[in-house]
Amino acid sequence: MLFNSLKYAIFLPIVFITYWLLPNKYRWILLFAASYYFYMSWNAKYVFLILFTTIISYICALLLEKTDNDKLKKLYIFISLLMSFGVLFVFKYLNFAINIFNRFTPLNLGTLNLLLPVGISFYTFQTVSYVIDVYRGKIKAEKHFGIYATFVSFFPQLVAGPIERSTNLLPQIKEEHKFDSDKAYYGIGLMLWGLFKKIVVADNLAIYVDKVYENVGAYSGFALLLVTMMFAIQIYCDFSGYSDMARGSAKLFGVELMENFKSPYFASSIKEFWSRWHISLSTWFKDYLYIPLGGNRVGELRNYFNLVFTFLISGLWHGAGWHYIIWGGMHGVLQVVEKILGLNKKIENKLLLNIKRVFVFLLVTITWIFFRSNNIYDSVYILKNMLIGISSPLNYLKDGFVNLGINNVNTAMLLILYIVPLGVYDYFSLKKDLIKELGKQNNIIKNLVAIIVIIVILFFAHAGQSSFVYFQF
Amino acid sequence: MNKDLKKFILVIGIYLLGIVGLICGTNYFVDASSTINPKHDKMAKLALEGNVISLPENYNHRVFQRCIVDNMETLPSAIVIGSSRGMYLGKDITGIEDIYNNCVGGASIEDYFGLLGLYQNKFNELPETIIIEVSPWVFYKDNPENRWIEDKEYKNACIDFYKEVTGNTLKINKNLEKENPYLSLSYFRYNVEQLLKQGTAVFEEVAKVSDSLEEMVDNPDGTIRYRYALENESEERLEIVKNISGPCTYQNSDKMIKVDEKIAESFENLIDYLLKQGKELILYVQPFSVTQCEYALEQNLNPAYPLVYDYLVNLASEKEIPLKGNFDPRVYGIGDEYFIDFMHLDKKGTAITWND
Repeated sequence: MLFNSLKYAIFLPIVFITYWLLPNKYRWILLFAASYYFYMSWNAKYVFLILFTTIISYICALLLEKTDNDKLKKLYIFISLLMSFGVLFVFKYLNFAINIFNRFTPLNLGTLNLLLPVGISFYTFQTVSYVIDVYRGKIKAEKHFGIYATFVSFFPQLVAGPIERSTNLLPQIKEEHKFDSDKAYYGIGLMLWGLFKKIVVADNLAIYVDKVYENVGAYSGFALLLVTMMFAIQIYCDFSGYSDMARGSAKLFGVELMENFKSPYFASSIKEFWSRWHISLSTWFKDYLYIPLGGNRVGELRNYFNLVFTFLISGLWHGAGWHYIIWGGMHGVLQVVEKILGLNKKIENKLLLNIKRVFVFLLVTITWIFFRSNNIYDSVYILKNMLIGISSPLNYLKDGFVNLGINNVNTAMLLILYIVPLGVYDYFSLKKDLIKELGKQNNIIKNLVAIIVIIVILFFAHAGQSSFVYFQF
Repeated sequence: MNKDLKKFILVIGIYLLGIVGLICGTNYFVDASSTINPKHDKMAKLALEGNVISLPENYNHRVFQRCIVDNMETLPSAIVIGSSRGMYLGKDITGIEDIYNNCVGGASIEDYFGLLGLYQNKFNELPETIIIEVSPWVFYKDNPENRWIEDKEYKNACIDFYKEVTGNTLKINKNLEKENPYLSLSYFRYNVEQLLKQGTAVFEEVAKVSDSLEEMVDNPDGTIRYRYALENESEERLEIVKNISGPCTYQNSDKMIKVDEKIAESFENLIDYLLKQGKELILYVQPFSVTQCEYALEQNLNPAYPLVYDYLVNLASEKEIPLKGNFDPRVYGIGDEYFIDFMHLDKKGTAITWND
């Protein structure tokens, strides 16, 4: 059940109205049932996997909290991590590992025909962080299984994040919420904006991106660079659009999910980019991998290793493929270079700041080549060929648009409808919460803005339903 | 329920009703391609009077054929059923005088039953000669084609005839978002676009005798003629045909790996039923372009295509019915210049494959 689907448009109001009609003590039951129904709409049989991960982490957290024996605590946490990561490994990485094994040994092991369960990377990390937080004493183990299961499976963030911390979400599942219309309208505003980003911007750009990336050999020059920049916007709008819809849906129930994106393409360093992009994942890796490895409280070389290693694993989280690992590694290496050259420090000069922002956007765009390509060979091809013809800049640019079939009208549409509003929104969001600001305006303005966004969605959304890019992780 | 919540539900409810009402209302009242309230009667009458009629963009093939059969006064002695890949088979190519081409775009196995069911319902019998164009995806179990369920009468004709032939009830795969023309966002946009383009004329049924070679037309025997640039050999057309770099993905048939047994069984039941009735049957398979074949057949990117052809060869031999055509045009010495696109032969090419 996608957020941008008719089924969800029917499901959400039913759950919403029922939720607020129910007394507080029964609301977790509704959310739990709705969340499992939501998950089973993807593939019913994989519900046993999320249930398994939930039960294991629930039991292990209770057991490790009960005991004072440090060795036993470590054993329980080891069991929990082994089981949770074990399931993730089997479904996501086993075939990749087998292929590597086959490459370097004379054995020819067969691979398994397993579908990747939707959301497995997200709920696995969510449960792992919970167990570790219990171990660290940050939160008490949840005794109520139903409440805990609801925390793990809470439908707005179940399939593509944000990866919520138990310290944030678990108390909110338990607490009594009173209907807050400001929060609810804010949620609707977020959902509308998320829908715009997803089905107007991301899905329309995907047409060009998919066309080229499925057949890179047929293109060269600016067309390759242009679609990569389009992909940078596509993946941002796709993922942040989903996150906005997730946060908006949660707000309808009085629940605050963490903000997962904060105008990432206005970052002035790769380090800053990662404090603005997929924040829930980057903070997860910081708290549960980078810092335990020593973070930056170790020697320089060891710190650089920690950085690169963390991002290599982050790349691997995104997918079982060398191009994802390379993508992650590139981000790690770039941050090391920034550190060495002192480029990750704040800049006061506005002109220099904006130049740096453009530079960082281009760097990030280059790394997206590896992320989006079907394999390393395609990535290398794109890097080698994307500057062909640049010696004649005007022809270079013109040929790029022509090869993609973008005429003058389409170009104008692309800029005016997709990119400019997005850029403007994100720029002003650096300082203000625009949806909150809109909420302070009078009803005429609020309704006018809502109607304009709805009309744009109705008339310019890509027809035909598409999934979300991050669902494959 | 507190006051704020009631007010919130009311406001959102008004917005949702407004949006749904706008979409549904536009789709219902404009209905530019006659999907919800198909109106092709005028067009059908004009066609049956012996006129060459313009085919409007996105007209509903199945509704049109339903209106054609509804308005026929006499049963033709021969008909052609199948997909757009059979739409050139008519008087000129087959040499049969009293023939009508009832092919519909993207025909699936259900369309065979639907089209024959229409004749059965109207005349209580079927034509003497039935030519069946067969494309590989007809036998694909995950063929997404579902247009046969859009028109109630067509759908019922299909279901009833299927039951008569096989004794079984036909299963329908319903997809809430795909098949609902009332709620379709793409149809809403198409309707608004047509309303802005045509004004109030969009509410009238488009039915006119063709007066231009630039139009796609329906001939008096039901065959079609594409617009000039596609109908005739040209560099532009050849470039389109050659612009292929992978498998044929029509109806997701690149994912097809075998002839589905259940569909094959239904098809064989149909063949047996028609033969029992003493009908003359001819199976026709149309080639794919040479360039397409290089990927589909030589590189085996459409592994099921040769399996379908072998299946049809064996079936035709077993039932002693003629099988004309081949998926590979090189068997006839036909090159890409005879194609309109990767899967449609032009009239000259169709004649070559029919008469060989």
